[in-house]
Amino acid sequence: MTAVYKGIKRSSSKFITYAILLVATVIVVYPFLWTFLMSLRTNPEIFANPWGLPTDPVWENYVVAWTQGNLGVATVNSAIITMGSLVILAAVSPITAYALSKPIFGRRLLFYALLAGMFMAPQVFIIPLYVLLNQLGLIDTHLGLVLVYVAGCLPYCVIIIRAAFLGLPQALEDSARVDGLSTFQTFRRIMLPLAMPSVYTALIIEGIWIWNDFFYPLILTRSREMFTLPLGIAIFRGGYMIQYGPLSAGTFISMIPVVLLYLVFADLIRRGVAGGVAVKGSTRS
Amino acid sequence: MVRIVLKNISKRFQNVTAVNNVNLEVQDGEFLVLLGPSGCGKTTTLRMIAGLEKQTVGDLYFDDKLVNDLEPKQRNVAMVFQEYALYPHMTVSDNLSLCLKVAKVGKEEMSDRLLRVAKMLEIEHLLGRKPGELSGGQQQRVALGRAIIREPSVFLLDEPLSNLDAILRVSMRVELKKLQQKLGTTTVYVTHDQTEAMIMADRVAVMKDGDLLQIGSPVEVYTRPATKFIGEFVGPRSMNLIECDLVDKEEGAFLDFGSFSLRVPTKLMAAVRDRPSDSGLVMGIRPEHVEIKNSKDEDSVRGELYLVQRLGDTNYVSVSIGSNLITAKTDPREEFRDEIFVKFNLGLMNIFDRKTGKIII
Repeated sequence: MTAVYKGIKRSSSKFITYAILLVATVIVVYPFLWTFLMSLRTNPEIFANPWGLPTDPVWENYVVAWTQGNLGVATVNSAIITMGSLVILAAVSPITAYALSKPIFGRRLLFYALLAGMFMAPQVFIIPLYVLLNQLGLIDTHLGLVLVYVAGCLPYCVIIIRAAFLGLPQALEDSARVDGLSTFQTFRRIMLPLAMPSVYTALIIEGIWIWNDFFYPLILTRSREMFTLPLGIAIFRGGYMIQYGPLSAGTFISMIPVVLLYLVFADLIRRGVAGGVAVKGSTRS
Repeated sequence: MVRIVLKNISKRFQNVTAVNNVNLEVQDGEFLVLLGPSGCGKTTTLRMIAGLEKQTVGDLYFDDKLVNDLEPKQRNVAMVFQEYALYPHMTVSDNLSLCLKVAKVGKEEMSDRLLRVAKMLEIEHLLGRKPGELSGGQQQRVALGRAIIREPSVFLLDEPLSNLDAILRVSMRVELKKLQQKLGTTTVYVTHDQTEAMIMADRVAVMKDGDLLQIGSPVEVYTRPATKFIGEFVGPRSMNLIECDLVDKEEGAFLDFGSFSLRVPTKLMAAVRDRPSDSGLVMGIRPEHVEIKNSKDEDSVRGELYLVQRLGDTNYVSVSIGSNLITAKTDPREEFRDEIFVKFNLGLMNIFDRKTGKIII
């Protein structure tokens, strides 16, 4: 009887688990699916039946999105700005995070100053930022946006990576010091390799945010040749009418690189989220 | 090889004095053990010798060279940490050879040293593995290997056996001691395990609350502990410590324990009378210097059997005499009645000043 009861309990527990996972999958996958289905329909079709399936798929929406939205150029701009920002962040944020994890004078003040910047909404300082970039001749340039994104993403990256460094045992640094490594060698050969999962996590999360950002390119670019993907797609959202088909097609096109990159780096992201490498021993404060 | 001298070394962390005015000399080739309870300052002292901590006050010499401002690599020391601190992302081979690569040692010599050390510690088959794939004992050997390969002037070991199981710890103590004897390197070893200290040390330095209480050979520290604390801390069993007062009677001088008294041996009289203060006394006597019998004889004191702890090769019998509890070491084959008689070997006792805790005899 007990064996039967345990069997039923295990089966129902499995059923509940699978049910929850199925619901979660549907919630995550549905927006992708819905966007794709919308991209194959015309406006009259959508207004007549918003939840219906495409009766006669309109693949031309993708051509319209690509040509009218100038998505080819927009994709290249997004790629340059995102990759440029990530390269600088990858170079600067780990070493900043390491410095802020060591007991140096003023470390707390510096760290809180970095943190304080994160709490300010971009809309608060966009005007002085625009004026500054204009004076420097960086409006409507890749470099201008890259610098803005680096400055904006650096605090978040530093917080994530610093937490990883603080989680590593002090004994590793002591051991490296006794082995004769300088501070920079200790950082490069010992600490950074162990904190890499958190570096990847920070860069991937910030990379996705930069790729999808609408606000900074909207304000800091002028010409269509400098539009990023979110801006390129937005032209289908007119003042009097929204072209849902091409808009959805453009949105779907913009999702593809991000999804592909996630699939390639999924393992790294999972490891970074799970806390990276666990090393036995006392941690630093 | 090197002689280490600590002169008036103190280390303060904000309001806490971790090490207080320590003066210590480690002879060339000596195996010195820093022994004490947790928080006594032994690891801090070790770290100051290594150069990982800078002393607040005092000077540190290697031979006659002042090393206060020298980094660890400039002091030519090698350290084995309690947690081993192996680099988890590197193979055993890379862990061992990193210090040589940093020192720009030639490839051929690096390879020679690596193979020699791996063979010495029987870890040749582990060179391609990472620390996460090793057992505790294997990790400990690799940590030792990382120290040995540097051919340092000084080995510094911070409780390297504390993470091993009891059986492995016993065998590794012997191996470590043999290795140090073979290499002849000056070694400073930190432990809170007094058995380890007694077995491995040429000399033991006992610390408590940042103070260095006594330095001496294991036998000296065991038979003539400088303070009550050392008497309790050192030894497989704590020393029996019983408060008493010196009482002069017609027949002679006696130690009065309240429920019984013992005549002070003539040869010890002068030392007891000439002690610096008039405070009370504490008699310290090791369990193996206390004899228990079922029948009374001369100088034995009546007591009641309290508890028998059987360890297999020996028994520890606790006896209640008035308000005092005395422990004696006995043969495991002996059996005792509830009423038993205790005899103290007064020639082997120690007397401490009750107020200061310091030894008088």
